[in-house]
Amino acid sequence: MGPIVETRDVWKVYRAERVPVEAVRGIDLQVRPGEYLAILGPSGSGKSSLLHMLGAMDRPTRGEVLIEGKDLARMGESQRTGLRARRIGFVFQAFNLMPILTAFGNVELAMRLAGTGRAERRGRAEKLLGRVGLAERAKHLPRDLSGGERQRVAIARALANRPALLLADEPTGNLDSKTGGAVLALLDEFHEQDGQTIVLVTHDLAAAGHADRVLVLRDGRIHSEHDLRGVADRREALRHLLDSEL
Amino acid sequence: MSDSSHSEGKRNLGDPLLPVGLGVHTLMHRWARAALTSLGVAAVIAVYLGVSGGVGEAGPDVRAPFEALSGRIIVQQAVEGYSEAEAYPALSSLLAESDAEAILAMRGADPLTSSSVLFVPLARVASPGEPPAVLAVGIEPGHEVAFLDGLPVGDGQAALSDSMSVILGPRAARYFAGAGACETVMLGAVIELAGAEFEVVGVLEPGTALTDHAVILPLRTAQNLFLRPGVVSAVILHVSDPASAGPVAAAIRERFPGLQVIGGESQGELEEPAPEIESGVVSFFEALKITVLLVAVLMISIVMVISVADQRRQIGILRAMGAGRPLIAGLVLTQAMVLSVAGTLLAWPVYALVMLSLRSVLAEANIEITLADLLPSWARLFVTALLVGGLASLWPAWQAVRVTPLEALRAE
Repeated sequence: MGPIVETRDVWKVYRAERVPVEAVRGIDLQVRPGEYLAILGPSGSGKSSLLHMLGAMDRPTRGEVLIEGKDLARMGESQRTGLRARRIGFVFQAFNLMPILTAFGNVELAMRLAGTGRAERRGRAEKLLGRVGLAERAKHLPRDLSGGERQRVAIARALANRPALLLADEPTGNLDSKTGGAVLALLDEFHEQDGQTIVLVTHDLAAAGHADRVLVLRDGRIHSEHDLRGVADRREALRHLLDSEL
Repeated sequence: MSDSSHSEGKRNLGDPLLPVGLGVHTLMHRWARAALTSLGVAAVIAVYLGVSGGVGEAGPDVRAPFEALSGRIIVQQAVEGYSEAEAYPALSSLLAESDAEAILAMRGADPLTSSSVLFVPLARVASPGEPPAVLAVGIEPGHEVAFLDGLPVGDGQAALSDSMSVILGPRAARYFAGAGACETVMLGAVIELAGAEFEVVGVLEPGTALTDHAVILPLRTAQNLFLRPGVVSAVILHVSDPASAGPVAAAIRERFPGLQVIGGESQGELEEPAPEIESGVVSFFEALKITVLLVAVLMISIVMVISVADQRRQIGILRAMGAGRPLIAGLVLTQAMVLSVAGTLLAWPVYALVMLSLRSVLAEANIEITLADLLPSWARLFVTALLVGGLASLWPAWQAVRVTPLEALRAE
């Protein structure tokens, strides 16, 4: 089975006050079905720019981004929109829930955008909210939920359409360590039990330690790559590997 | 977990009712702003309803005065410094009755619809350019039509039955009823004029300012009562053939050069400027209607532009989640439509309440209003509301569809 997403010599260059800024510089990567990949890097390393391209929200300046074998550059606006609606789920640092909708409404929204029938989406929204432990909070608006609860709703929403790829951009960035840990445990659960493919972007070593494979980004390039499968204490091993690189 | 039956190449065909649901939810979330906007729109649409009513009223009335004036000649003492329209009736005018009779006897005059008249003010002038609040009009019995010009009687008869009978204009009827604009003297009531008692035999329908204030009584009675023996104020002459009005007027001018002769034009001559006046009135009201609607469009548009600016993040989230541009445009369109339709629905009660509360004021101007008169064409109003909402959504919708999915992330 081919990769879900693949990049070939991808570049992203922004123009800031007429000065070109190379956010991503010639990155090659592959994400295979069922894989849990973490992209680790400090602020400004280009990880978010890369994530936007993997999520069909932005196009590369140069190179190719292939999503399920289709070149992003050759897709029209409506094709990319359809792709985001059906094949990719997003979890954002700031949760990005619709404030006017309840937790249930937010999860259902993703399926309404994908054109899922009413009965199916209601059943699935209830089931997903149950899985993230928020069945009792389904009728609450985001403002009435805690940060951790909001992020769990966001995860349920991202998974509502059974996406091929779940992209999580600093999902624990706005949470305390305990709540953040619970959110990461939830992602682990969906990865392990359902085989969900996940790409996690983070600057947090502990968060990256949940992934099977870690790409370390520096100055827009892949600095190193680490396979953590079979490692017992992934966090400690990752710390050790990174320390040895310095 | 992934479902490869979905094709990334498919067009995004989400729930078609989603923009409506989200739009209504958004308005409910910002209900205070939505309510204030709807009230503002209601006020503007109420003005539109008022203006639309004005066109309906003004349209058919433009030619009506010309019809009444055609073939009519008024002869009175010259009044310095006034145009013909302002000069009649000259309350100070005094003609010898013998001259009046000579004028009435001229060739071409219709004796049945012509008469000498005596005007005597019975109350002060309420406002400049208006006739006195009550004006006694002495006229030859059987020739009342000379003064009334076909104005119908609302109650009773248009003919003076005896020397002590009167016909009242509607405002004069209210004057004699005492205080209270809505009360009027009833048919058969007795009123007192200069110490004499008269029976009311007719009450006129609203007409001109002159007929509304009139107390019509027999000419001889008026001459005796107001001590004007052998004199009249004017002669109202109607010619049998309207085409001969001009030559008759010229003959009067020639024979009585010291008198003022007003009118004498045929209906065709009088109506010459009518199409221009008519089209001017219609154009004015149409322009006013369009302006009022544009104000409503602008009002909703401004609110929606602000709303889109507030919702940029939400729109970005929707775009990131796979909402297409048509959905975003539909979201804005729904909000503008709801504001417009809600405002329009609120407008009618506002309009009806204002008009009904002004009923007594309008009655003074002889405009009678009932609730049925105020009912609009609902279908046309609904279409107007949709058009206003649609137009108002264009610019904000354009701004909204330009929001990219990255907007949701930039705010992080």
